[in-house]
Amino acid sequence: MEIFLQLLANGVILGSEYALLGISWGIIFNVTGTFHFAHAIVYTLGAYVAIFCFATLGLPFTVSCLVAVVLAAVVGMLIEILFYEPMRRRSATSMTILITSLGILIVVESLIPIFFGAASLSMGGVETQPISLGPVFFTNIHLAKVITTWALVGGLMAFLHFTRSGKALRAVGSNPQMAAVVGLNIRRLYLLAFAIGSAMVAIGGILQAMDTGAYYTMGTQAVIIAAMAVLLGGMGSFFGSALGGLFIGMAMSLSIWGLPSEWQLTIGFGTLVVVIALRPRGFLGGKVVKSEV
Amino acid sequence: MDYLAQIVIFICIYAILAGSFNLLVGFSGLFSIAHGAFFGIGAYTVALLTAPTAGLLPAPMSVWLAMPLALVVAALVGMVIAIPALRVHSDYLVVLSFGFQMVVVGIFLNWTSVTGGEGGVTGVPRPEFFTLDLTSPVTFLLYAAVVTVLCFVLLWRMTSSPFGRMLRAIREDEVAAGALGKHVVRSKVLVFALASALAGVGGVLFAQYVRVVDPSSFTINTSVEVLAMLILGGLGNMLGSAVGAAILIALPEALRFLNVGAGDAEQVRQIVFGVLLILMLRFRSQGLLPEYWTPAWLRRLRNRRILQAAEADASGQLPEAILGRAGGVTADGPLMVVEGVSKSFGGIQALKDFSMELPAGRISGLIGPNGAGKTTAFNLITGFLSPDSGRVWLRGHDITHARPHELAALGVSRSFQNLRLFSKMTVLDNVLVARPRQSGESLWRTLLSPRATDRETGRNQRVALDILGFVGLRARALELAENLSYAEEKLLVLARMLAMEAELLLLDEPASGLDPQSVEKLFGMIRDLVERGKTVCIIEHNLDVIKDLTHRVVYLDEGRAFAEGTPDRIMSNPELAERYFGV
Repeated sequence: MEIFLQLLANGVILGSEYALLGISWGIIFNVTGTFHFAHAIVYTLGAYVAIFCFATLGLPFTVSCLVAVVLAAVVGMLIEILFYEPMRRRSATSMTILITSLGILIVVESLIPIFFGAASLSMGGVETQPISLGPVFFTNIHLAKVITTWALVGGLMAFLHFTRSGKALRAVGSNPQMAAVVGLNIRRLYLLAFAIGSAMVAIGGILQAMDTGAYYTMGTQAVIIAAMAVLLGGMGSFFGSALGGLFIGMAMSLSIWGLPSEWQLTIGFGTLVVVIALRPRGFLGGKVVKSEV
Repeated sequence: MDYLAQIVIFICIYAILAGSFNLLVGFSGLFSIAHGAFFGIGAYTVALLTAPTAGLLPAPMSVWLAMPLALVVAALVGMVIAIPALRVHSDYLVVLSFGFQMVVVGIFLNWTSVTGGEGGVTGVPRPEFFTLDLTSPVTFLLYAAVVTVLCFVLLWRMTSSPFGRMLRAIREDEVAAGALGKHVVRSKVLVFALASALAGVGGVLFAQYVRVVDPSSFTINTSVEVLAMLILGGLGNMLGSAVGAAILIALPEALRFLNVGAGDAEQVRQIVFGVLLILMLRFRSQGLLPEYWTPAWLRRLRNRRILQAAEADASGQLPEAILGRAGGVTADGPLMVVEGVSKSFGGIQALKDFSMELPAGRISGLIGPNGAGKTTAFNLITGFLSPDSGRVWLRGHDITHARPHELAALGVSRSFQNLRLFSKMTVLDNVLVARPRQSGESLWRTLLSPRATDRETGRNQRVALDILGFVGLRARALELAENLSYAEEKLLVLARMLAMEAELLLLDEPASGLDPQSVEKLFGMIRDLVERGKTVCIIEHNLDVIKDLTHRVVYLDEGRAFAEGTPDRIMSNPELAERYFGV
């Protein structure tokens, strides 16, 4: 029972990490329809830039994080401006855009070890303190992870539902042609989605760097979890992406009950492949995307 | 010499990977990122079954038995992944295959007791041919080259046959392919299994040459490398895949000679692949060798043959072959009967108790205001939608719940408002793919009785060219469909329907967007067809057209057949005029 409670708590922590990944990828995918696998490098860059500013340049902690988040948003928007937008204008297929995104991912991921070395880096700055709640143990950084994630998710949902720009983003996501007809500036809204998604994932990257450190391939795994979270939550549902992430984290944590922990990811991915295969519409998605007549 | 042989061996292995990936991505439009995983499944299967150190079996299995087993394993795993993903949208395949790639590498890494974990399986034996042993790279190269050539002959045969044409049609537009009678899902699953099996062949060669199989060779980076080869060579061109593999294997070797990035060789390799991917897609997305690229002399030769054959029996007449079942004789009575069909979407009732009859050998018109349910009616009688209640009969057979490809086989053809041509295929291929009952679309017959299927394809080609002659597009036969004018596209739609030998032609607004001359030409053809025994039903807004062309009219409004009769009677009905024009 105590193990179960601990695994449950671990699941919430891991699930929050994945929820942030899911919703940050989801806002980009649901609004622009782009398979933005290069999101992985924005995540990694967020972590590396924060570490670089803090540990190497010696900037204050908050300033370092701020620099990383702003830079991540800029990088996300630049990828859209320099790569995706011109391709969409030449009516490239979603497959070509996806492959380009993979190309960006591979290139930047290979550049990082050349500049920063291939070793894992740690953030430092905030001292890790254990917290115990009855039989369950976690750290202050875990707590920060959970709180930050759900505050960001709540904030984003409020933004999407109560502000003009947020409503416009949802409109573009559900019907881009109609949104263009009623005079919404699609290009600007796409950029906004990339900026928000990239800033959010950078925060996730920094939290991860504080928790377990940063490694140059951390993004690839993160982005596939994010994509699966979106699929699981249901394409087109923003909150669903966060729920999908939470579910993945819980499932991964609980599935290793009695198994060696290195199996966690493999079993987690395996479960997801099965779940998505059996229930393609996800939790909150309206309908399965099928080719329209 | 050994060094050179080694490079060529790797080119062979990667050419097989790129070729099989091309079958999947380039020809069939199925994007998977798990090719590296299938490569690994082939390699691990053969390694675990044959290496004395593996310990999976009590005694190592014969190499010759293990090799086919490796392919079967890869194919079966491919099928298991493909079936759920391909039932829905291709977006799911992207993400599922990504996840699957991670799972497979995770298993290789973590199932230490079987796979040896990070260290992998060592001591994979090479096959022996009687006295010839394959210990030196040069002799192994012979073996690898033979296997590669065999794979490419297979791939080339598959993709240049009617089977390959069907795959390309599915890639271009699976809805239209279904309407032409193709089994879309079945073909996709088959092709996924085949591509996985061939990746497994690459894996077998790799395992036997390197003799060590460890997880690092089969990661997502391998998938991306193969993808880069594919994009460089050209999607949909088999020769391109081989060229792409050769360049991308040789290039890093050359860089090593020039001592570029010596310290970070692996990273530099990845960067080269990634940059190449991005640049190719940005500036030459068709690759070095575009899909329909063939050497100029070969193209001239082939085109001359096609056009000469067309010249030889250019009658300007409709070929007898396409009259099909009707055989030029008009049957009596209704060909299709729709009985009290209803369909609603959510809360909206698109069709309410809708009934109509399509008399054989006549032109019927379906008219009514926008949103009346005309296209829904078409979708229902062609199997794209299933009615909530009611029955549809074709020549007395109940076809209420038949699927599009089954209806196509029964002689029902349709056009789409948005045409749905296979735009990246030639005009001739657009028509050829629509030919019914092609034995070459069966993979086994294409491979096992090539002579017979080739003869059949030759006959179909002549018929297709005759049809193109009938609609006036023969001169454009070798053009890509996307280069046609709108009027020509509409003629090609008709040609494609004719090639199906369908008895019933359902035309959704065939005249919209056409100039009066083209309309006149098109309607001349339709009348001609009906005289030869075809049955036609058209959706049309232009009442002049209806009056001019049709024998009878069904007036559809608010999802119900409001009136049925001769065009004159319907149009002189003041109530209908009021409903239609709101006057």
